Amino acid sequence: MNDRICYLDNAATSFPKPSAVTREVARCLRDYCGNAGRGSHKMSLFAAQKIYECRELLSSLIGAPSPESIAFVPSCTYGLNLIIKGILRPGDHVILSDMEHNAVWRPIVKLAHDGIITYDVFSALSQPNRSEKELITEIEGKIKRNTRLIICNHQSNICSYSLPIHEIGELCKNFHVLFALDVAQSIGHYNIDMQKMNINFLSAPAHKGLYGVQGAGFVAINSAEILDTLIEGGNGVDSLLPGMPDLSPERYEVGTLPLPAIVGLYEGAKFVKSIGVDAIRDHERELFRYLRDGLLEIGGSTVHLPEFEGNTLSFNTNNHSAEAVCRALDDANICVRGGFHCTALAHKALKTDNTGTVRVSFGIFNTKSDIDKLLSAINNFICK
Amino acid sequence: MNTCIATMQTVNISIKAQKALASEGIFSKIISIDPALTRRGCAYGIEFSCAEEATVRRILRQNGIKNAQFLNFSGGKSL
Repeated sequence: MNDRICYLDNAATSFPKPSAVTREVARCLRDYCGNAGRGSHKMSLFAAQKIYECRELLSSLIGAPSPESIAFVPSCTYGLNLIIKGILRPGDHVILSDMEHNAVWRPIVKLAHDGIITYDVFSALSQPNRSEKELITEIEGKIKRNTRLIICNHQSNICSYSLPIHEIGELCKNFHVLFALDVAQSIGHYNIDMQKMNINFLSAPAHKGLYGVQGAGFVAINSAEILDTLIEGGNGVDSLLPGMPDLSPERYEVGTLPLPAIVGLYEGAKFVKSIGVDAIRDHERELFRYLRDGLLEIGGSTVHLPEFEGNTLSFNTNNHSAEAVCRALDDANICVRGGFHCTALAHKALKTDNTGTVRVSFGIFNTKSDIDKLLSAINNFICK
Repeated sequence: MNTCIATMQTVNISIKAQKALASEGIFSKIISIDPALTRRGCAYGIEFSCAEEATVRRILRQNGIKNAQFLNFSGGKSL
């Protein structure tokens, strides 16, 4: 199938996967897919060692304090729920940005609806051209006596606008507020150092910028805080005791870990490291410029925040709905995503909450010929 | 070889301990521990030569590895 497909939906999940990822996932399923931390036979121990190698690699990639500070979870969304619900207590106040994915917005709204917490939203995507200092001043103005957490995504999932993480981390440190980051759209595209950037908690998926497969994500912890658990159960530790252990990562890793997804993540992260995050971002920015300029040349469409170059571009055509454009592109075997992209806040900030957008998102395997194919299909559709 | 065992809380800590020991030239094996010795279930340990016990204690301490117990006999099943 993929011989015919022009895949430009890497913000949803990256495709294709590096050959090393495909090979290792298959090798795992064929040769060593034991259950890590359950029993102590050779295959179980080998599985545990492979997982530990992945913890080591990820912790070095994001500047986490140690391999044990990496806890594998089923998805980035699960990780964000664990962070939010594991930290916040009755009476706490939390601050988030106006471009959060529903994975952050909905758990916070639920906690607020249940009367447990209160929250405030700071302007990011709705005022993209103001200075970092003005942005930080606004966030600082929202900090209250009971503010326990600031949580935001690093980069929007509908365009390439990103937040100044280092500065927000510094603010959190100065005000003794915990800082959590959703790196779903930035990991593998930006250099991240939890310790230098004062990031206390981070949640990431395996299957996007790290080129792993679906079914795994991870939370990284750079804090002495022990999170409350989201779910409880077996983890092979202190099995005769009724409570969950305080130890990280075991406290947060309940049930069998998805070994094939984790070894895929390991190979994907190695692939990203071997190319270099800066080189990947440069490649994606070049494709962004090529597409943006091509769309402007064709005319009849609006590119949202065209000055923020990166791996994701959203646009609307003047006379067709986002969904109609996506259907036409799908007919031409081009995969992009239209609609609201699970982010009510960001579309409201962009003023596209009535229309949605067409989102094009690049990966390292895309080339200018993919963009040529896309532009040609858009041109044909608009002129039809 | 007279073997000693340091029991560990988790398989992750056991792997960390084995890597720390290996980096200082101490050979060790990760083993399962008789549950009767720890009453933890799925317990693990690091098996090493008793001649290295003082060095092993130092390395584990320096790496922040909190071992539950040192045993001076082979109470586990070697992997």
